[in-house]
Amino acid sequence: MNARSERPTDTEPLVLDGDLTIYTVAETATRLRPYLAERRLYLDLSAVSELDGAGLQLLLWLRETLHARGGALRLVAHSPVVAEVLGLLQLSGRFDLDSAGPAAGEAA
Amino acid sequence: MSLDSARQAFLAEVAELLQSMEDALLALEDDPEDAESLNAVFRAMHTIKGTGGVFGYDSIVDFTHTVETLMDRVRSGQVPLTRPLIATLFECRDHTARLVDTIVAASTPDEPLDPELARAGEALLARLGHSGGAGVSPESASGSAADANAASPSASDTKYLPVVSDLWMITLRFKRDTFRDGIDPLSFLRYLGSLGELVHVTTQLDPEALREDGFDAESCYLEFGLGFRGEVDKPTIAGVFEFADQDCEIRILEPDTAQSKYLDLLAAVPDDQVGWIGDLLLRIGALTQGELDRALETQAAESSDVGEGESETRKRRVGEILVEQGSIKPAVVEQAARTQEAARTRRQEEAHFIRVDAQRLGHLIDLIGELVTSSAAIRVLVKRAGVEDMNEVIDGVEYLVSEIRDNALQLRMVPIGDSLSRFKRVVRDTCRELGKEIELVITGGETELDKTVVEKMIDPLTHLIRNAVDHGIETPEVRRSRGKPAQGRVHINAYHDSGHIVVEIADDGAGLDAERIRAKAEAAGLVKPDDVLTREETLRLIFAPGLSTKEQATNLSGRGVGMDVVRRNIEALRGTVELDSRLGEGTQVTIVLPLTLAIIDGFLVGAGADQYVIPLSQVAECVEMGAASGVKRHGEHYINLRGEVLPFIRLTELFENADPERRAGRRESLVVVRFGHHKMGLVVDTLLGELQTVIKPLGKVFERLRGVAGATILGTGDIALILDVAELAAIAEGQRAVAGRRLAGA
Repeated sequence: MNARSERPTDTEPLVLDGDLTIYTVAETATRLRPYLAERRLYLDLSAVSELDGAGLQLLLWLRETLHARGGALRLVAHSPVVAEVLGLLQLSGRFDLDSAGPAAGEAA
Repeated sequence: MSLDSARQAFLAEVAELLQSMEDALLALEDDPEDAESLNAVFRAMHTIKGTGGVFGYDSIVDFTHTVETLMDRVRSGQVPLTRPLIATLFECRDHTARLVDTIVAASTPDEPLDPELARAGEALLARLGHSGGAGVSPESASGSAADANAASPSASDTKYLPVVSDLWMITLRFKRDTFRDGIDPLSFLRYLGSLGELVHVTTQLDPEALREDGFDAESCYLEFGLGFRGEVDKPTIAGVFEFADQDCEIRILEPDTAQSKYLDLLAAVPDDQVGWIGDLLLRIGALTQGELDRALETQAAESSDVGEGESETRKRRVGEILVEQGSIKPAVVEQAARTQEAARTRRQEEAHFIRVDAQRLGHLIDLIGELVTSSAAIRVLVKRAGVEDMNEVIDGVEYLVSEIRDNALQLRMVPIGDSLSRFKRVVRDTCRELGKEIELVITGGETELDKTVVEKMIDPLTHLIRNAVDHGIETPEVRRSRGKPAQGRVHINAYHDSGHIVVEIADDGAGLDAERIRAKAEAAGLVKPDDVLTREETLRLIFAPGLSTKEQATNLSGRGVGMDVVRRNIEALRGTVELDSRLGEGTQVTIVLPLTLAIIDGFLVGAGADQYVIPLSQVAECVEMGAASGVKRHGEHYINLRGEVLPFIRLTELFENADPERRAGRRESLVVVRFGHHKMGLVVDTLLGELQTVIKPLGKVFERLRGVAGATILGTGDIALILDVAELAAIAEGQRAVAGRRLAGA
């Protein structure tokens, strides 16, 4: 779980997997906090099997906090579940979903 | 109402609507954001569509529907209102006018449309589609909305989107415990999405979440702003979020289209049921019971002393509270109140206004003219019979007749501004063609005059304005090089002056070159090379028929185009045209017209064997000639009245009708008349007093008679000529000029 590199090409993204719901967000948040100072954080959500409002809020919080500190969040991959939620909330643009991973077509 | 008169009403309505559409489009050219004007364009198309549909004019419905739909998208901000689009809308307006004319003129509504017209319509619609297609797609619109919201979080729930929209605007602010209560906000959005279309979604976090260590992943900080489109009513939408009632602050604002639906519904509420705005809004579905209850609670808490009778106060208060708690857009409450008000006034206005056939009105005025004559005849008979007792009655009758006359004439009075506003379009179109920048300023539009006069003066006015725009005002480049502002200015000003209306058309353009006019006039043989003409006289030459051909017109900076026609038209209305111009500075044309063509107050005088009527409004004073009141003859054609030198005309000399039986040396009287800036004297034998004068035009035979505007029948049955003071002034001036030249020659 090394996301320290500045260049996208040799970046190892942070992987979140399984459920990203109210039941797991507290734990995931603790996991994410160390990365809040990153200039660029790459996130791989291709293994997320469930995303609810709490999980979405967590992603949004992560992005906004990074932004506020001058950093950036990039999704390198996502699962259809993620695409569905971001599409519903029209957040695809904010998370730059199109340039990320598979299932980008569903976003619009 | 027969079908025919219904059609007439339709035509009148369409004309009004198209005029307001044109005004709105002109306003939009200056300010494309003007919501009021956007609505006016939409409404015009919408109403024409609706009424056209009633008559079964399908092609009108089809065309206006497409324009209406486009306007709706413009209003909702989906299509930007560009200049080319406005230009196309102008054409759509014109096309609608042509369509309506053609179709209504046709005997049956089913008659197939003239293929050429249909093609023109299709071409226009195709262009509309094209300019519409270039519009902002919903995705990019939502993107920019999201960006705007991201820039200022938490602003979205207090501010209403400024764009007019057909979307339900829903804001949701979930409370911290939402997740812990087992509620997932996303499920509501999904459900709402299934009822219609979520056009815009903006998601943001309460700023608290972004504070250092302020974020608790299990608390909910989510706030949503939703733009929703769907065929649902407010209670249905409220129902979606019912489950989350405890965990969420919900505000639902109806779309503007619903708003207009509400307004329609409001307008349809019978008068006796228009009482209480809360019930009303609830009834039409603009409000949910819950929202109303909450407002009522607040109201009850605030004050409990509002009695049943004080519905006005109560209505306002509930409206305020509803807006405050975000249940309803302020505009709906305001407009609902306004619509109620308007509905009430409209009902009153319906009783106040009656559309009357102009011909009937004309007939009425003719009859009143006869009545005036008859009452004058009675007066004469009574006088002759010497029945003293009758005098008072006659006075009463005459007073009433003159009141009736004034009121009847007032019926035909219309503000001139309604007709002048059409020139905005003329100027705009001509500017487009010629690449000029011209501002048309209209002042005094509220000045009233007879509708028949208005109609007849529109043509000459159009001519003058075209001239000013076409030839008077220079191109922006030329103007700049001459040190003038690039934008030219045409100013139309109207005002009343002693029983006349004065219309001035002034431009700040190139002006007229008197020398060139002179040269042209000499070439045309209108003046001799050794004639001495003042500057005014030279300028007046452009009203001469000989100077009116196109070729000369261009040489004379175009001012000659049909100026003689203008003058003829104005003079046919018993009016005059004057022109003043300074080379390089501009031109001003002043038209003076009588307010009405039918009946005037006159001043009856006798000269020789005949009687003459001078319009009373032009009589300044009457003085006895030769009396020691400072009246002195001053040469042959002038008189010195208290130090003021006036030209005068002796009517008996002018009309060559001196009464041979008249004893020489009998005192004559001087009637001082005034016309515009001019003042002159008319020498008459007797002053006979005021009378109401019905103007009868003289026949063609007397067309060339100078100084006479018409005739009238006196109570005695005699005929008196009505003097045209303006022409008399011109005659007097001519005499003076001749005398002056004679003097110079000697």
